[in-house]
Amino acid sequence: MAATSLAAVTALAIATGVSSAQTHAHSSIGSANKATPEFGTVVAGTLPSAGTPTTGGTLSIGQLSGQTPTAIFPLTSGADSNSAAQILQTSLYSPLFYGPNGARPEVNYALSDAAGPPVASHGDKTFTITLKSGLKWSDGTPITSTDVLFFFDLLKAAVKASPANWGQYSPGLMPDDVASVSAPSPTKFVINLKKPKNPGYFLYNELQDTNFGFYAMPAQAWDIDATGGSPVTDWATNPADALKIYTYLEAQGTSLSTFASNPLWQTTSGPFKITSFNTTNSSYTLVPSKTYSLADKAKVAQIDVNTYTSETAQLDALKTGSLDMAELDAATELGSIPYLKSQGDSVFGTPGFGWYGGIINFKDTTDDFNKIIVQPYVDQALAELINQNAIIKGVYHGWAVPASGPIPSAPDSPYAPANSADAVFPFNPSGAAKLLKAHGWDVKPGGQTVCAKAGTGASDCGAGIPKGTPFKFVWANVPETTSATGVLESQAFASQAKASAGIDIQLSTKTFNFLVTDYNDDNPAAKKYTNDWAVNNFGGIQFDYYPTQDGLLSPGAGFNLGDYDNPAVIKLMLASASSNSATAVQKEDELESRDYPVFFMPVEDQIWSINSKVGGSTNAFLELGTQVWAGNEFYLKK
Amino acid sequence: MLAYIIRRLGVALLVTAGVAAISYALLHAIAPNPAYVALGDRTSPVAVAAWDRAHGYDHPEVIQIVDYVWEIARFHFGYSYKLNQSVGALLKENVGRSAYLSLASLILALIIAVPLGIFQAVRRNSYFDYTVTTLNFVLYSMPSFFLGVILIQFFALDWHILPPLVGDNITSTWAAITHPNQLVLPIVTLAAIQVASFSRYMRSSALDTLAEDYIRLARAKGLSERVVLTRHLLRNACLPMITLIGLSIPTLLAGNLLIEYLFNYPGLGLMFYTALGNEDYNVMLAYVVFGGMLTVLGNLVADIALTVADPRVRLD
Repeated sequence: MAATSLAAVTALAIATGVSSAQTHAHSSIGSANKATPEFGTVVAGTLPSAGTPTTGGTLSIGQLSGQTPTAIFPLTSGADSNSAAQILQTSLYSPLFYGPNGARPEVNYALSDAAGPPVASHGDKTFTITLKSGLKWSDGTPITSTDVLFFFDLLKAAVKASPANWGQYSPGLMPDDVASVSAPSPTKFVINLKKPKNPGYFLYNELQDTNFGFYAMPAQAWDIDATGGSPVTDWATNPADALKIYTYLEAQGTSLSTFASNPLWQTTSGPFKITSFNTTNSSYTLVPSKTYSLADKAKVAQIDVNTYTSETAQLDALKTGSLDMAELDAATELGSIPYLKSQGDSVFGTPGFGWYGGIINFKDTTDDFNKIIVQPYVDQALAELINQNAIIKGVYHGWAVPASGPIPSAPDSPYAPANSADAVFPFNPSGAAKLLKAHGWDVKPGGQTVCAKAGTGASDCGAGIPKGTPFKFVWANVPETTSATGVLESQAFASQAKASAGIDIQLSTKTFNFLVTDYNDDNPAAKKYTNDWAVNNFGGIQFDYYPTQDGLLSPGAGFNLGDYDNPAVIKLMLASASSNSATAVQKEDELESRDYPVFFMPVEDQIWSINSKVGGSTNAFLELGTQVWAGNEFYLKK
Repeated sequence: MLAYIIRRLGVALLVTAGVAAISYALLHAIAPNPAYVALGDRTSPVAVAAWDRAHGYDHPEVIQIVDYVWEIARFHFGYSYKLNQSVGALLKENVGRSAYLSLASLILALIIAVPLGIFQAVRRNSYFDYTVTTLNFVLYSMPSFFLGVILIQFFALDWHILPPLVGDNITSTWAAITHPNQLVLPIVTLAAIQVASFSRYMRSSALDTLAEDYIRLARAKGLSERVVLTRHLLRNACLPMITLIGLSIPTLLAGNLLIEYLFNYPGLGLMFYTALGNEDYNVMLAYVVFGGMLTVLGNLVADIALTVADPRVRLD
C-alpha cells in the first residue's frame, strides 16, 4: 500500500459552487475516438480524436506553480515524490514497470523496461525479472540487470541512512524483506525474499509503486561520489561507498539549476532528454531521445512544460491557444468548458484510483463516540445517510464517481471485488432512522437523537453507551480554500444526518498539516487532541494498483490516523500481502467496505482540456486522469 | 539627524524581531512544523519525531521563537523543503522582478495621479472633477485582480493586442524590463488602483495648498497659472504624498501577490502564494518578516525624505 502524494491529492480535491458550471453525466467514451477502453472505464466529456499524426512541432503542457518537479534523480525521497517529479523522471528514465495502462491501474509493458511481470518461484519467495533485450542507454551502453542491481544497492544504502530517503519505503517491505538479489545474466534480475509474497502485491506495492519503484540506473555513468570524481566501482560490496554515491546523486538530483546542464542527467533511457530547466518557475523543455529503445518513439520535436502561477493564468493560456494541454480546476473553471469547446478543445475527465472521505477516530471518547462507532448498525445507518448521487450532481456537477469502499466504481481494476460498483449501504435516510430506533435510540429528526435504551441486547444502543447519550460528533475538514468540495460534501452529509436522523455532526476546520500531524492517534505528541475529533477529512488517498489497505488500516500504519484495529481485516490484509490467492485483496476490500473504517465519499474526476491540434491514443488521454502523462504518446495532427 | 536615524534603525530592528516572533508563534499554532513537507506524506510519526529533534522543533515554543529571531537577525531565513532551496536564495531570485513591478507601477501611478489631482483641485466641482472622482471611486473600490481579469478579457482575449500572461522567458529583472509588452497589463493594473488612491490625496492636498496665502500672493503678482501651479503649488502639494508613498511600499508587496498570481509573473508575491498552498513553512514566515521589514523601512524612508523635501520638518 502506498499513498502517493497526499498533499497533491488534497490540492486536487476539486471545489465547486460555480453556478454557471455545466453538469455532465458520465457517459461512454465519445465517438471522436473510436477505440473502446477496456475494463469499462468511465469518462465524462469527450476524448480528443486520434487524427493523423505528423512528425515534429512543439507540444505545450501546463503545470502549476508549487506542483513542479523538485527532483530528477529517480530514487526519490518522500518529500520529492509527487506527480510532477514522476512525469519528469519517467520522461527521462523508463521504469522497470510503467503504469498506468490508460486509465487502468496496471502496468503498461510497452513503456516498461521489463518484458513482463516478475515470475514467481520457490513458493512465491523468489521473483525473476526479465529485461527486454536490446535496451540501451543514450550513451550507447546496453541496459542490463547490473543497472537494476545498482539501483537496489543504492536504495538499500539510502534507506538504511534514513527511511525518508525513499518515498515508497515502509518498514518491513522493500528492501527490508529481501534476503538476497542477483543478476545472473544481462537480462535477468532475481530477488529472493525472506518470506513468500503475493505476486500482485509484490509487483505493485514493492516494485512498481506508481512509478516511484524500481528503475535501471546507468551504473557506468553514475558510479561517482563527486563531480569529476573517479568511478566508485565497489558499490555492490561496500554499502558505505553505495551511500556516498547515493548522497552525491541525490544532492545533484535536487539541484534545480543544473537539471538541464548536469552531464549526469543526460545519460537517459526514457523517450526524452531535458534541454532546459527554468529555475525561476520550473518550466522545462524536453526533446526526443534518439536512442530510446522502447516502442512509441516521440513524434513531436519538443515538449514545453510551462508553469503557470494560477489556474486562472493556465486557463487564459488555454483560451488563447498558447497552451495545448492542461488540467482544469473543477472548483472555478467548469464554467469555461463551453468556451473551450467552442474553440475546438476536447474536455474530458477520468477519476484517479483511490478514495476520498473521512477517517474515523476510534479513540474519541467524547459523548462515547468510540463506543457508538463500533456498533455495526451505526456504520450502516451513517452510510445510508450519505447521498452520493446528490453530492456528485450538486457538489461535483457530475465530475465524480461513487465509492462505497476503498475501491471506487471507476476506473475498473482487475483487483476490484465484483460488486465494487454497487453501494454496500445505498442511500436510505428513513431506513437509517428506523435502524437507530430499532437499536434503542430516541430518534428526533431535525433535533438531537439520544440513546433511550442502554444495554447490549439486540434492541439496545450497545455496550458502553449510557442512556441519554447524544449522537453527535466532530468532523474536521481542510479549509474551503484547500478543498471546497470536501467541505461542501461534509455539509451535505451533516445536513442530511440532522434532518433525517437527528445526528449532530459538528464541522470544524484545520489545515492539512494539522490534520495529518495532530489529529493522528499514532502521534504521541498529539494525544491531547485525541478527543477533539471524530472524523478527519484531510482529503484522500491515491494508492498502488494492488489495492490492499495495509498502509492505512493496519495498526501503526502511517495513515491509520484513527487507530482502526479489526483482527478480521488484519488477517485478510496479511493474506493480501503474502498468500498466492488472486482474490485475497478482493475479500479484504469487501470486508472493509462493510466494516466502514472510513466515511467513503465520491471520487472526483481529473478534468483535462486538450487543444484540437493534439492527437494521441485513447490510452494516452485516459492516463491523464492519474495525473501522469507519457509525452511520446501524443503528437500533433495533420 | 544621524542620531535620529540610528535611533529609528534600532527601533526598526526591534519591530522586525517582534514581527518575526509573533509570526512564528501564530504559524506554529496552525501548522505545528514542516516535518511532513520535508519527509513526505508517507513518513512515520517516529521519523517525524526524529526530524523534529534534529531541527529543533522539539524544543519549547519560546526557545524555537528565540532561535528563529536570532536566525532572522543574521538574515538566515531558513530552507524551503518544498523547493529544495534556501529561502534567502528564493528571495534573492524573486525580489528584483517584484521590485521592478512595484516601482514601474508606482512611477506610472504618480505620473498620472499627481497632475490629475492638481487639475481636479484647480477645476474643483467641474464636470471634469466629478467624472474623474467617479472613475477614481470605481477603481478604488475594485480589487486589483478583478481589474486585471477585465483587462485580460479585453486586451488579450477579445482584441489580441497584448499577451494575457507574462511568458517563461521573463527569468530576470532585465528580461522583465526588456519585454515591456508582456508587462503592460500587470503594471497598468497595479498602477490603476494606486492612481485612484494617490489622485484623491493629491486633489485634497492641492486644494489645501491653493488656499494658502503664498498662492494668492503669486497670483496677485501676476504670475501665469502654469508658473503658479508648477513652481508654487506642485512641490508643497506633493509633501503628503511622500508619506503616502512610504506607507504604500508594503501594500505594493501585497498587491503584487494578486497581480503576480493573475499574470503568471514570478515574484515574491507569487512565491508566498505558492508557499501558502504547499504549507512551505519558512517561505511563509520569510514573506511576513520581509513585509514587516519593508513597512518599517518605508516609514523611515518617508520620514527622511520629508525632511529633505520640506525644510520646516526637523527630525529630533
